[in-house]
Amino acid sequence: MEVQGNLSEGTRGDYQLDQSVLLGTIASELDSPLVLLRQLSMALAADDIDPRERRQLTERLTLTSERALRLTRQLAFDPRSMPIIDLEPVNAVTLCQEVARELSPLFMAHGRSITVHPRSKTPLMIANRKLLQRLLVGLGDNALHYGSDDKPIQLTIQARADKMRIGVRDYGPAVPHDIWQRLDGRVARRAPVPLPRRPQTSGLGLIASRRIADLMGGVVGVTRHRDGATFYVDMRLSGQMSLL
Amino acid sequence: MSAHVLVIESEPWMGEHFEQTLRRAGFTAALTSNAYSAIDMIDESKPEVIVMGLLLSGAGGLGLLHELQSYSDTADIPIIVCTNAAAVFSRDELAPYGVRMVLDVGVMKPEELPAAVRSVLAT
Repeated sequence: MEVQGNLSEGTRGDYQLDQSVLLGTIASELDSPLVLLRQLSMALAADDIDPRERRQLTERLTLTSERALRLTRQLAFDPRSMPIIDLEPVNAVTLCQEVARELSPLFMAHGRSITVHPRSKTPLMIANRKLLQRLLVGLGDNALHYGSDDKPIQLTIQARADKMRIGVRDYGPAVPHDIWQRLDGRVARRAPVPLPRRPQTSGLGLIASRRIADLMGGVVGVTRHRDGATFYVDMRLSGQMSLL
Repeated sequence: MSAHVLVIESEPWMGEHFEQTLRRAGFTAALTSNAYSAIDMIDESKPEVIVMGLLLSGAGGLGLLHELQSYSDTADIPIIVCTNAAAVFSRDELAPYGVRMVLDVGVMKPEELPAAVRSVLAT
């Protein structure tokens, strides 16, 4: 049985963080990659490592710093810097393939994979291509840490009556049924704490994702499965085909 | 014979780094990323020392510490916690869970890990 939960459509800015909270949460989220970068760089400085290990460490340093940069940019994204959001018809399959391509080096370095659940023909959706790609990369990046080693993370695409649902399916620990209430409560309390059973994220990336989706008239939600979760974004379908 | 150390760390690259550091120092090290597989590995071959993080996926580090303390054959395994939350979890607070040392991964140097293992084995 699946239990679904998504964000009710609220007014823009309901869950905006003030500057001091934002800085604190970004610092908190960046702590883990920075600690890893420090340990990897010290390992690289050791005298007794062979060329293969040196290459591997260098690759991990690069990928970890890129991940930290993505995280920072997503969390620090300020809607005021984009007073006008250009929306256009976007092909979900092509977009998901680009997201998978962008994340593949990081997934491969972890011995994992990310696939696009194949759909040959889907209607177009209305979105800002760059913003939606950034949102999906964030969800995919998050899923990397929770999937089981033998199952790929899947980007799924489903056309519904009036919307397109793009999901990021993982096979990791269950997410709390009250995930949004927990996140909202935490923001209200200004106390970033990890989500139970998924400790490597404080969930702030999800709040940033909601904010980005909201700018495009989209909705971010989660479907809980017995063996993992699907974080998804619903976008409006384009009506341009009906004009032909 | 080298001591057998089990590393339990949910960040895979950090875990591999700990494992490699211990192997280079002459220990026999095994690595796992979560509490459930750690229990299986401990049942299969009891380690002389456990090196673990606290923020583990699934059951979590504190859940695992509780579990290990619940059985007489695992309660005596010395545990070294490596965490970036060392400011939150002190050694004194974790001592009842069998934790002998808490290392802050944000400031520790690689050579401090094998030194810590040698230290708990010597006591």
